[in-house]
Amino acid sequence: MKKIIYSALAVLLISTACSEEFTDIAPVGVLESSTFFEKESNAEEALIGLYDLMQFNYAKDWSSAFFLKQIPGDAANAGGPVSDDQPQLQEIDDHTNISISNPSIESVWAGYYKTIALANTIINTVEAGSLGNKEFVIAEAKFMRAWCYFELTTIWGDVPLRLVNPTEISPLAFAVPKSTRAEVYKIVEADLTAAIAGLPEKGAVSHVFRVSKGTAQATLGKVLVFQGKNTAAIPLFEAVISNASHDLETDVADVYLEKTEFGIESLFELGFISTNGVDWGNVAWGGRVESNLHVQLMGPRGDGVFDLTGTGLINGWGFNLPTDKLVKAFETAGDIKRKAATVMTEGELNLLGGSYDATKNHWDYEGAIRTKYATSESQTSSSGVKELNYTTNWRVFRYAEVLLLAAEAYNAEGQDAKARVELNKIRLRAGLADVSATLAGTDLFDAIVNEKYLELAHEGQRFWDLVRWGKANAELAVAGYTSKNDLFPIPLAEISKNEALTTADQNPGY
Amino acid sequence: MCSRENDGLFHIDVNGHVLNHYLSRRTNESSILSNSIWSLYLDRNKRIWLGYYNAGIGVYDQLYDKFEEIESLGDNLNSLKNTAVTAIVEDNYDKLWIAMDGGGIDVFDSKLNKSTHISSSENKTYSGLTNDYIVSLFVDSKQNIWAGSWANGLFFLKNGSKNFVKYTTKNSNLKSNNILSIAEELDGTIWFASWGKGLHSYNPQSQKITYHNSEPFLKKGITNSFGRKVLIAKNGDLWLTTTNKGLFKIKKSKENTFSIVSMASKMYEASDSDVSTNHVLSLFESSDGSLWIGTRGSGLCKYNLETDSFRWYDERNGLEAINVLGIIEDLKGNIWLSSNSGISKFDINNNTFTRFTKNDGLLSNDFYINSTYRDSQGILYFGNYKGINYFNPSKISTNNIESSLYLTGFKLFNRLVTLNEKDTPLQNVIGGGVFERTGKSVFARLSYDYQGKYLIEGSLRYDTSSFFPTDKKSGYFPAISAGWILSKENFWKEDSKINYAKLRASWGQNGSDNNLGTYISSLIFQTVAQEAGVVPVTYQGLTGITPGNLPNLDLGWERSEQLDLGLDFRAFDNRLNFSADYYVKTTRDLLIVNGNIIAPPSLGVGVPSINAGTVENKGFEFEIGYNDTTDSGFSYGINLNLSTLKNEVTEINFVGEKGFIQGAGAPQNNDGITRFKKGSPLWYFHGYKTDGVDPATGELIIVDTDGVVGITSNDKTEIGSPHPDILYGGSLDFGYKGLDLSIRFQGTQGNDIFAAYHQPSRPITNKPVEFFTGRWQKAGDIASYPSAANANSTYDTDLMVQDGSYMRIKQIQLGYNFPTNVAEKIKLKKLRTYISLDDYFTFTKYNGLDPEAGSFSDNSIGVDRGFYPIPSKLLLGLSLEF
Repeated sequence: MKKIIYSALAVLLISTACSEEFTDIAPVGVLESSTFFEKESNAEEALIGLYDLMQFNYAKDWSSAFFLKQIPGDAANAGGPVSDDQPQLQEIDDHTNISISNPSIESVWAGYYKTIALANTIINTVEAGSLGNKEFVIAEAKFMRAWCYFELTTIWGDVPLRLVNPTEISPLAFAVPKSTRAEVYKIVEADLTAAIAGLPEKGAVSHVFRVSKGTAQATLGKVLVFQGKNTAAIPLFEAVISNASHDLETDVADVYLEKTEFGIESLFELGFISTNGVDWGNVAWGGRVESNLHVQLMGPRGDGVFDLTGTGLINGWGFNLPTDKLVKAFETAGDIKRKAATVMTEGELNLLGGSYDATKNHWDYEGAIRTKYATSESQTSSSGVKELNYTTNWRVFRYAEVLLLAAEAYNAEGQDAKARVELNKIRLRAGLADVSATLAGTDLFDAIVNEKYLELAHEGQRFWDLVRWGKANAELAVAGYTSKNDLFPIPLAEISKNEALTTADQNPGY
Repeated sequence: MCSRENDGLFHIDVNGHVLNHYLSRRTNESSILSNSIWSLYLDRNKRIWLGYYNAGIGVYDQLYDKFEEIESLGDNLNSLKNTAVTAIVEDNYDKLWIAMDGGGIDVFDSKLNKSTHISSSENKTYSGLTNDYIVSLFVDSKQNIWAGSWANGLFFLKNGSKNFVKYTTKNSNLKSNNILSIAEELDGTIWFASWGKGLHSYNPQSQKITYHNSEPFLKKGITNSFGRKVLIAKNGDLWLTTTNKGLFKIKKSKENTFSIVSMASKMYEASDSDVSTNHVLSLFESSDGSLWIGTRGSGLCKYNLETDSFRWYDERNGLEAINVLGIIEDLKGNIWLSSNSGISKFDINNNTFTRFTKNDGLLSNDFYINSTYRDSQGILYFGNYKGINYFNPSKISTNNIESSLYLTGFKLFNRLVTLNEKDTPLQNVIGGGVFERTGKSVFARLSYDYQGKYLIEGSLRYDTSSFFPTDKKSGYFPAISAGWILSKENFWKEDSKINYAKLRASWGQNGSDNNLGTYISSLIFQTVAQEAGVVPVTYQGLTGITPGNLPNLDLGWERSEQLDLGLDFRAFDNRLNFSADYYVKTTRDLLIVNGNIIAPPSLGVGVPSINAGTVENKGFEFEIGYNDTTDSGFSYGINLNLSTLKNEVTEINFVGEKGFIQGAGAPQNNDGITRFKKGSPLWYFHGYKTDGVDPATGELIIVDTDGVVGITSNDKTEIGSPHPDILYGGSLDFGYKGLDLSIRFQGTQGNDIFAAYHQPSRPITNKPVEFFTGRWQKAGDIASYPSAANANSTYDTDLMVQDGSYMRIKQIQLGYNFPTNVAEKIKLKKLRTYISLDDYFTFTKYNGLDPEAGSFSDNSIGVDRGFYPIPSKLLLGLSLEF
């Protein structure tokens, strides 16, 4: 007899309350993109987001654009206590063996593109709408996008040009090939032209930190000079120079201090404040910190290396040391005031009552510490830990550079008298005599080059100027430079994850 | 309501009768502040505001006080004797029995509203309770009362009796005098969880207490565990929670033998975070047949008996209590939890937690472990350190109307501070870590069994999760299995040496939405960024926004599919058993939570979770055993198992056929040390291949693998796999007369370990001696490690990868049980002595601390981060049973 057993038939329905919407959950605490750009105030907040990203990328602890642009030059050494602290910075300073997966290079690259992506969102969405502040919002976003692409092409040459963000997740949507530097410049020029049209004059900006029409004019002038388009650049510089809201600070010693921030010399400045009084316990290392942590990384090394008695400086971690070459250049020029505002030799340190302990073998130390953007006790907040609350702003573009760019453009166009006028403004402020009234041609050019070396030391301009002037080999071969260093390597992660790129797209020599 | 000068507050009904007269009492902080009340006001939210003369204002919020309480009031004899309530039970005579730590037992007659105190000093009504530190209470099916004490054994009050009988280690088989939990089995056996000695039971027929130290209890370490709660599940299984060895499932057979499963490691594996599963405090079986497990430190875990699966609840699901001290269910099926931070309700229908604290009227936020009770009316009782809170869970209401609070100014150091100003500490923030998850499941199963010969079973799950896009939320997951017991067929000869044979085949799928976050269907903006934690997006004191991730419209369930073909044999009267399996486990649409790992750095926008690809594991599994006892009394058993494994990524999405996804990182390794790539093992090791040390310079010679002259990161390649080719284990057991010997071992073959415990930025740290003895020292040295100056160059090379194969003898134990007559001579029931070597012998070439103690998180399998190794132990034991 056959016996059939059926067992266990169970259908279980959990919760009869399950409606279709039960598993559709709206996100909490966020603003939807579909309606976000319908309010003028939201668009303004998006612009603040751009400034915040710039601030982040130029001061992100060990991977700041501010420091990375300086290290390959001949004014700054990587520094640090020993030769292999922060190897990714040391290898840039040494010019040899720069890894294609150098994390600081990748971080700065990604930081520019992150800023660009937000600018793209703002530009494309606001352009399609009808906000009352539309023209201004687009102008400021385009300025930021232009600034980032100009930096990218200066540092990396041909780069992927992203003007629209992907809307889907696929390798195809993520893939963008490299555009030539000329193509990038074209977009930069177009964006800056739109920025000039849409930005207010310096005296009319809604917050002192905002970029103005003058900033956009000066930046476009710089972009043109970098391409050798000097004739086209000159009227832009003249417009900035003739505008009374721009001038040099009177005292060269004040240029980097809190008291002149967002002042008359400032064209584009990244601001740092100390509202939260961060301490070692709550500092968001690697995050978007509002105070300037980078100043601490670049302070004269503690650990018994430097005794800073009498200097008004606080010990830091010993990175970004001035070269002996820079000190000598100041001394050769008889430049006393500006030297004091930039560097301090060991002898000067001793005179004030401080000292250096030579037995500590401080890496990259060539006999001087830096006073520009220094760890000054007067530039930090009394709330929180002093080391973590510097309020020093980065002057990423200031009027002095405009004068030197103008001098360079005039000189290149054979207008040496005008070039000398602009150059002498810089020298006068530094307490130096005018150059000889007969100085002209390449001699005048060399004087401009040297003046810029001294005026903009430790501001991240020198190396990229030397490259475009073809002077990098002459000045830096001794420091290990070869022509491959003209550009940073494209990050390995970019080449491996951007399907439009292959290893053949890597910059020459890497 | 009527207030009077110096005369307090009167509550009068419409007929003029005084319902209540409230007066100020200095000893009660909840009383009115002053007896002079000059004004009264009822607001829209039914709150009564009182304006006192010279004492400010007060407010009575009727929605505030949600809980009733039984307190210990110094001036009231009819209140609790003591405040620390450790247990609450009710008998059939409407009496609440309340145990207190230091206060004995109070019997509260709810009909008469009268308390009777029982303690060492109050023994008129009930005598024999000689200890006041009562920590557990139980009413058994015969209405007998059991009370467990701290340090003084067990007290038993027979139904109707007024005299407690005391059991201790001196007068019974109790091995511990600390009895923390009591439960009753269906057959009337009473079980006790003790602190330090595991489980005891009481047989009502023989009226004897038994200490459970038989083989299975001994092996699992229950005999010396710190029991906290014993529970008898509806299916008759026994469950024990301990605070040092986690949770155990104990099955009793008809022959009164036990099989025990330790749940600690299964619970750990089911969590996506580093939970502690050894410290389990509370346990509850809810009416839907789930077990709710409360831990110290890691929140709540639900065990589904049906599917043998765990689900964890912690702050990410809204549970604010990390120490779950008591668990109970209300009549609607909602789960209530007590903790050190109030009481939480888990709403079973919408999976949300609501927390109630002292701010809702609780006596204290700090509750006593397992001090919970639900009476026949559905009233829930929770004992805490200030008394008892009880309430009707269906009548708890919350005031949903929040009082609007307007800040009209904010002063810091007496200076007005405003928003949107430089250096202001006030910032606008939108965003944060709030997310919600919902899900539903439908499950069906059909089994068919024909004459015990042909077995077939099919099941189907339909799961829906809020973590996926609208049209991808649901998935069907079928499974089917079939078996054929050949040995029951007629053609199988009765006298065959092989007395059992079965062929098996099964195939099934499972879905996973593990670790995902809220699904967001469009681009969103937030005022907080996720870099280095959650930081506000601000610049110069102004609030900015940052965009969220791109939406992934294609995100779907991760699907594991397993095919298994097997056969089982038993022969020579079951002395020999053998089984063999072939398995293929394919995980499709493997979920990777952080999708940014596929984004080119120039993308500039974030990528959410993705389905990364397919991984295949396949191989054979064999088990063989032979167990017998000879006529002369010599017993022996040999059991061996072995499985092979081949692991391969067979499909990769998003990054192209030849692309890769970067996994775990390590210091000095910019490119990561593990990778996910088609055709390679899952999360294989990535780095430079080396070819010795240059005898001239002491530098490592890196192998150029990419065909382009010069060494770059492109020359990094596959340098090892963390997956073993073979895993094996086994045991040998011998016994003769009183002597027994057992040996257990396990091992792996063919897996590599990446030694990531080095800290390159601190050169002077401990390293294996090979780094020192094998280093290059002078020109001409043929060395295996580079010169000291080049030590850092080894960290991203195959010098860090070593063969992780090992064989470890987990235990060798030689024991002797003295003959019963010898034991009895010295008044012992049992006397055993043994010597045991635990984890004592390990055979491996690996020169790190321990080949077994690597890390096992998803993308860093086989990456040795320097965890503390498993210690080798030599144990000498003497076991006496009285």
